[in-house]
Amino acid sequence: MEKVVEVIIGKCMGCHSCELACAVAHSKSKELVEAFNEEKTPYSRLILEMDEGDVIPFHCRHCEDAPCISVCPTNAMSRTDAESPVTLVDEKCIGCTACLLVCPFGVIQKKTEGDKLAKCDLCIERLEAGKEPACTEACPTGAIRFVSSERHSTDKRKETIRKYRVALTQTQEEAGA
Amino acid sequence: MSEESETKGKQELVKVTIDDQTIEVPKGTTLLHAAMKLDINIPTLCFHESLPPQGSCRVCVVEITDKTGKWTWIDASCVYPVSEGLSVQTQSPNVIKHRRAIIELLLSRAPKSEVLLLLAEKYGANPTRYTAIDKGEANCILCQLCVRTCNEIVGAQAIGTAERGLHKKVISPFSIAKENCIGCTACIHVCPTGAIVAKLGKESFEIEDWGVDLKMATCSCCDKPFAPTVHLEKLKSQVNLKNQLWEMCPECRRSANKVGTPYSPII
Ligand code: SF4
Ligand code: FES
Repeated sequence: MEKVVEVIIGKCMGCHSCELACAVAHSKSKELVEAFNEEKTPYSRLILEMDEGDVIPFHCRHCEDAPCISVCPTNAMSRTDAESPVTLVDEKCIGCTACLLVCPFGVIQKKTEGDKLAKCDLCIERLEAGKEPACTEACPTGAIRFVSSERHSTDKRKETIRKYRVALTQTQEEAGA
Repeated sequence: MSEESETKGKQELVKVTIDDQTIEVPKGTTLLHAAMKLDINIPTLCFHESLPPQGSCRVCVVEITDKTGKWTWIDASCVYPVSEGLSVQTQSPNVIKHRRAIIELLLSRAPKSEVLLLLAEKYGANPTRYTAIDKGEANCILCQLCVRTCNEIVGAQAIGTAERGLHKKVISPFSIAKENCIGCTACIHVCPTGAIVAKLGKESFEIEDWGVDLKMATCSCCDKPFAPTVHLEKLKSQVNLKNQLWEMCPECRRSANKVGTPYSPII
């Protein structure tokens, strides 16, 4: 896949916009007000974990060799080709929780609402319609972005340069002092 | 879905009319699936996408008229394969009458089932028309979804039915669940009436009626029990994960990944 979901932890302020957008994007009506009056209450597949003031949004990594797909006994967890997101078909799911127990990132949840398993599908419906995932669109601070993998690597390299520069100045200062 | 598209090429299409909407589907598709394609909602209890339909609960009944228009009958839509020119009613007074009677009968077996009570309200069924077989908390309509899931999909073969008639029930062999049950909870998930109740103790997973009592593995980080050890053992033989991960609950696996900023889920 050419584009990736990138999370910049320091920028997240824990406003839960992404979770809300996720729930709405996976509702039937796809409209905020209507969504919460639906027969099945929509839920977020993305997890915003808070711990001592730090917040991080957690997504499915859509692993290349996804363990959740290999343990699913009904093919409810699957992907169309190697490049596409890993998705879970609710109707086929028997709730055996195998995927939940093998996900190395712990991003599959068992929801109390209707006993469903919740998993990020990278908003596959929206991608097909040429839109970006709901969470990246909703994030007001740019903590979650949908960027091309090249852009992601360039940014990472620049980040390394910055760190290196800081470290270098520090050592120089220390040597000078 | 993929099977469907494969068969589409080889198989002939047939036309069927459901509630005045016409649709073309591959021959052999069930009426229920054809209705789903038209976004027509038919209530179901014993139907699950991952198992072949078995038609045991009958709440999915519809009224079918053949292509000559001479014959009309009531049948379960989840097991009825469409054929050319059928015309189907899913909400006609006749259907409602039958569905109501079925719901009333099911309620005599599972008087406390919320799903059934909701259906009774929707279709104007009288929940106490027939004397309840069991006055207790019994909720099971004997649709066999749990048994089939356990046997055919999970492959654990931990449960089956015992006895006959009024006394028929879903049970583990002699109420003792020896090595078979892995505590995967799929039976609880698929049960349409919520009849299977598991107790999550401090270190044990119990289903009392079936004599299931499994040891839970506790998370090495937060000390919370998170999965039956036997289930983890089974999964260990299927996939390769780092040893540390097998000892951690999903929540702690997430926090373990907090280390290192910024992290990037690369697709
Ligand atoms: S759910 Fe977990 S195991 Fe499956 S693809 Fe996503 S990150 Fe990988
Ligand atoms: S859903 Fe068709 S008979 Fe139960």
